[in-house]
Amino acid sequence: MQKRLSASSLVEITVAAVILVLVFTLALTICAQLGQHHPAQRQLRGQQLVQQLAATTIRTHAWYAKTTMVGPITLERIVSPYQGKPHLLQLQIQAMEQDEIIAHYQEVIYVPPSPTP
Amino acid sequence: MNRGSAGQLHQPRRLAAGALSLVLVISVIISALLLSLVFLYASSQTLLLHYRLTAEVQRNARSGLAYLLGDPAFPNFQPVSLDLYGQGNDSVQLEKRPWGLFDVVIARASKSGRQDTVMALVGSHFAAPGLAALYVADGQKPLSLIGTSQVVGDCYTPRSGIRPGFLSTHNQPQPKELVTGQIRISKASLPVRVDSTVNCLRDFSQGAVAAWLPRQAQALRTLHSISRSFSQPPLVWFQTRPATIQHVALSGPIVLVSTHKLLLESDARLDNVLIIAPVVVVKSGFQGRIQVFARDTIQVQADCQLAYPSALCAYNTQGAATVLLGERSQVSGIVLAATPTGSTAPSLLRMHESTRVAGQVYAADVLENCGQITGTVMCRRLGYATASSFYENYLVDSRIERDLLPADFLSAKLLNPAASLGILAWLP
Repeated sequence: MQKRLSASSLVEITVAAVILVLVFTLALTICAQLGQHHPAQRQLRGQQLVQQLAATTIRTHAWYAKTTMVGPITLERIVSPYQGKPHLLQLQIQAMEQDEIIAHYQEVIYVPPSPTP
Repeated sequence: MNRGSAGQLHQPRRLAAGALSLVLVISVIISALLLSLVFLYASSQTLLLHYRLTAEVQRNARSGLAYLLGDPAFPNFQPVSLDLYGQGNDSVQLEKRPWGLFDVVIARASKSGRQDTVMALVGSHFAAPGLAALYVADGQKPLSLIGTSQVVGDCYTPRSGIRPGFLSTHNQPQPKELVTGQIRISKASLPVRVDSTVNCLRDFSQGAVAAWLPRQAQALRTLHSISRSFSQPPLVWFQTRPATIQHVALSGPIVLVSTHKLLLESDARLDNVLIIAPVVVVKSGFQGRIQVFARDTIQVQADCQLAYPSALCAYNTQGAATVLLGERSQVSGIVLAATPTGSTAPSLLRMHESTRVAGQVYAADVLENCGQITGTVMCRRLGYATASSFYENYLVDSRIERDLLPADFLSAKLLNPAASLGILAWLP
């Protein structure tokens, strides 16, 4: 005759549920901590910031160097002539956090002369 | 009973059998959580790298386009590989070739196995005279505005000036405000040299097609519906007898060349297609995006719609060059009729008062019955023709509105040689 396992008691179920809740809480806390301080997340945030600044620079024609702070991240914009061509500029933007470069952006921009009547 | 109870008391305590399965379940859950954390870390790194590389490749392709725009002397048909920042990481291949009045530019960027290609049609911003609404060369006769005519924007008029006019066939009151912008005196010649324009356009004659097509251009034997990317070599359909284009949909780098008259039926769907023939007739109701180069005549019949960027260019070094735009037809782009200076057979651009053109209108000699223009008009003489009379420098029931043309509306380098380049349209 096959032996039967006895059913779990209410106490066992309660203990298991409490342990599960604790484990889940712990895991979620770790995830949240990793999300905030994970290098990938910092780099992604840096990428977003440099792209926003590049879009603003191109839209507003702000062709000059500038350093700005966004929270703990420092954004440094450098604009220089490209290969000596009169209407081409090289736009470089770096995002730095604690002296570490977390994102970098560079693009060649065509700036046509404005027509004169 | 008592014996049984005593026996249970002396037995060692045992955990319930369900505890083992409970432990196993909890272990599996913890392992799954840990694994998912590891997977999350790895996948976020991979995704970030993919995102960063994709963005960089797209930026490099855009940079390549910027390079092509900033270098007007970039050679045609010669692909050039460029290391953008001199570090060996950001390479882009650039190519440029003419496509009618405009240029096709192609930038192919690649990095770490990722590629991106952008293609665009390049046009030109307007040079100084093109910023005015109307330029009529100084031919002694004053400019007369009649009926609802008005020039919205700056105006270059003959030395004899501009005035409200009167026609016995028009009983409307004289217009009050003739020109909303500044009035300047024009010169005896048009600001864009006609001869150089005609010389350039002559290259579009059927005998010289090969001069502005890449060597890889392929012949198209039979005409059938085609949708082709501009990254591929152009297809050339060549006819030596009168032909009719109908029941086809053509899109992409396709050139239709004929040594005889060419008819475009209204059921033909053409997108970015070039048409070269001595005489081209666009039948009523046609809709599409085309560049037409005709030696003698271009006739656009009623209710046609040519979308931006289209071009109608009639040019002739031997005889007359004529462009006829029918009733209620709309053209967005460039309309041009030109013959060389001193030609005995002048060029003629004739419209209907209900014709609408958005863009640049250039008549090297006479612009007759000017319609409704959103953009700029440049001509040697304006004319108003009735069944029995011809009135020189008369503008009748015509509005020329330069200010309504969007700032990003681009024209052709040919008509604005001193102006900078810009992206006219993205190509598939």
